[in-house]
Amino acid sequence: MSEKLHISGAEAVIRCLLAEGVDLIYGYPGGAIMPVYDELYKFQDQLHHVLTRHEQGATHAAQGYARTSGKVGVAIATSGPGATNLITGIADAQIDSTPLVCITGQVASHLLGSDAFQETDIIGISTPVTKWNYQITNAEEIPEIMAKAFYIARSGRPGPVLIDITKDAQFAKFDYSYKKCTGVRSYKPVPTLDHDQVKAAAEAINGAKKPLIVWGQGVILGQAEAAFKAFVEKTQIPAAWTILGLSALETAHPLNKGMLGMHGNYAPNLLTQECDVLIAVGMRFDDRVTGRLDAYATQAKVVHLEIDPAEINKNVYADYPVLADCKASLEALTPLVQPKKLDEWMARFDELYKQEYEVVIEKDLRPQKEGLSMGEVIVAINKASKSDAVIVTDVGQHQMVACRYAEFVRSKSNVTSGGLGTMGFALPAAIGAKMGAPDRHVVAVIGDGGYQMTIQELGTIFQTKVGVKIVILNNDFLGMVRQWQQLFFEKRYASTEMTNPDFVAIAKGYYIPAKKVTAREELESAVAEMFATDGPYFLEVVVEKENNVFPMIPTGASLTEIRLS
Amino acid sequence: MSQEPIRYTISIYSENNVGLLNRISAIFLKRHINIESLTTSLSEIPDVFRFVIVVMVTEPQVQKLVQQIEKQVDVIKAFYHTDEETIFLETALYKVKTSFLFEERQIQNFIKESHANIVTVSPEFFVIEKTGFRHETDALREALQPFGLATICALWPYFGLKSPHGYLTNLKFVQRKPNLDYGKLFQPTIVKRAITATGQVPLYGRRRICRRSYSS
Repeated sequence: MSEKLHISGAEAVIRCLLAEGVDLIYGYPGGAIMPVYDELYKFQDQLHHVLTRHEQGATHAAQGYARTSGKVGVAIATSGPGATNLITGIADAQIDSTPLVCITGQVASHLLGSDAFQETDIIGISTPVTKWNYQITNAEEIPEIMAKAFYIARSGRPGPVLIDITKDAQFAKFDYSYKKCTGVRSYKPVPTLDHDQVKAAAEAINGAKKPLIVWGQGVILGQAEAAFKAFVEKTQIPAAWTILGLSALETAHPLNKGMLGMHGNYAPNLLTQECDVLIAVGMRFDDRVTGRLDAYATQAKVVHLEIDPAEINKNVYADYPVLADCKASLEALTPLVQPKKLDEWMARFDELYKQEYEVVIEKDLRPQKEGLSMGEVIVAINKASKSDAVIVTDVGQHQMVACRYAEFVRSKSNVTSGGLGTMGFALPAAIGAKMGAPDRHVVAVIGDGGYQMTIQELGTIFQTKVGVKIVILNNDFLGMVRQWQQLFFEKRYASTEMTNPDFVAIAKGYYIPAKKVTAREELESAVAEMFATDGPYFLEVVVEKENNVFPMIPTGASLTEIRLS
Repeated sequence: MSQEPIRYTISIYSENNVGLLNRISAIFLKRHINIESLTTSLSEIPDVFRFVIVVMVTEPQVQKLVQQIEKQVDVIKAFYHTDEETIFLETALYKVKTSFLFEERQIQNFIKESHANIVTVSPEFFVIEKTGFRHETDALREALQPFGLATICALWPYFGLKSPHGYLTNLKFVQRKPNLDYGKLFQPTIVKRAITATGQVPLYGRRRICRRSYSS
């Protein structure tokens, strides 16, 4: 763009957002960001601002938006407490590689370091949890830095960027012109694919007798779903997912063997310890996936397709690293690999699945007890949504159950806080997720604990009328912590029991249609009614108080020590 | 790979941006690793900044540190070296009462024997400068101790490479970020300049540190 405009820094911020194709931002106004809000008022036809009820909600909503739309989420807040309240969402986005641009106001530059009202060193505070951050003290820097922020947030391995703008820079006028950022000299977002690495990886895969694919969010972030499916289908190798990789390959695919890690499926966890070649695609060997690291897949040669060089050999040694965007590496790899006949190996998966089904899954989905199980609620959601809802989950038992049993037919359908495990994530994230995918059903499945951490965002739902379906799985406990107390702390339930309010009354206070289900026979019709209702809906399901999530790999144990009960 | 913590020198070529020091030190903080010494200055390449950080860690640890450092947007490249691959020289300044210079003849001998220089003399204090290996600067400090050594300051370690020819082969560097604009960054010609600079210490930043120490 070559237009020359003499405008304020605040207006420049808005024009930069528009130039980056942003039409929706989340935020909360305050003193040091008021010039930008004043411009937002003038530009409200082009740039929609969603007022969350807390700045943490703004970052989580921006995350949800980014995760379902594939675009960069934008959150905006004032200095001091406004800025520090963003941090949880930023840290969550950093560990889960979500592209965010966060804009904070800052006290005027002549006041920096003077402990001025609502001054905080947000650059210092956000440094360890951002991909990049920058403080603007001069309006003329705004176009270049904003362009750079969007470029860095979305390129390579995505992540959050924070831009802090002093109030004087927001007021100052300058000659504005915008140029998109196409590169930063010290930053190479995507490594160039090395064909020797691809060949070596292909040879290892072709020689494998018992191969296993483990994939992560890289497949979704790299828009490599089709390339991944082609690779899986050509090789006929069984594949399992990390929690953030979920929905990249449809649940019903015969080669989709389920979830990895602490509460993952029995077969892929145990067979990780038996495979001869482990093909990791866009995943980072989190400790929740590997269990005890020195006992993890020690027998296997590891092929690691990864975009971030810092992930190679970080946790698991990669015998065959392939550094590139995983779409590029998969597309290069697929022509070089041969289809496999793995009947015996596949039979092992079936056999272990059968064991898991008998001991765990049947009980979860068709419980004999009177109380409802979390699993049957998820099944009801699958049924009513024809397995095509976006499922947003919080953190804890309900999250594990939802990820284990939710069914998906398309990608970008699972939004959860994986790496950071942020309770309170789901409700605001669901707001963003629905706005990022307005044509889809978005169901927030939340525990009674996490729900109350960001319950104020019901106000945002009410004000925006965003059609989020909220399902609370209420066991009057912080269920996952209680499970650990039961298994590892001899049932000393320290501060995990919750005396809960009338959730239905609270939802109704926000004029959101609400219903409570306590009996099995009401469940299906209630879920169906929820989906049939236009706009937001609140459904509380009272579930069995002391159910546990299995299988389980205790912390610090190896995958072979996975317990079914 | 060595599992014992040993001394590694990490050298980082970067942009010169506000906050980068914080970002880099946070990588050590997050892993609970103490920094033994840290120097920042302009590098031998115009417009490129250099950090030299010394840590006691294992080789797997230093590799991961370097990978995380290189991952930072403002970092161009990072390397790590063992002691065998580096030369440590440090500049020490010793502040001694001027009266001792005349009363204690040994001091003049120490200065001569250790090839140190007197950089300034005032009626009250004079300042000796010594550039050398740690054991040499330590020896001079011990020698001066009985004679009213007032302060010793401005320890400034820096590093160079033993052999310009061995630069690329000797260095174990984690090359993960092939450079677009800095393709010539590590050509031998530039390296030679770095070596010369090491011997003569005309580097940016040193004079500033000296000045500050004068006033102390």
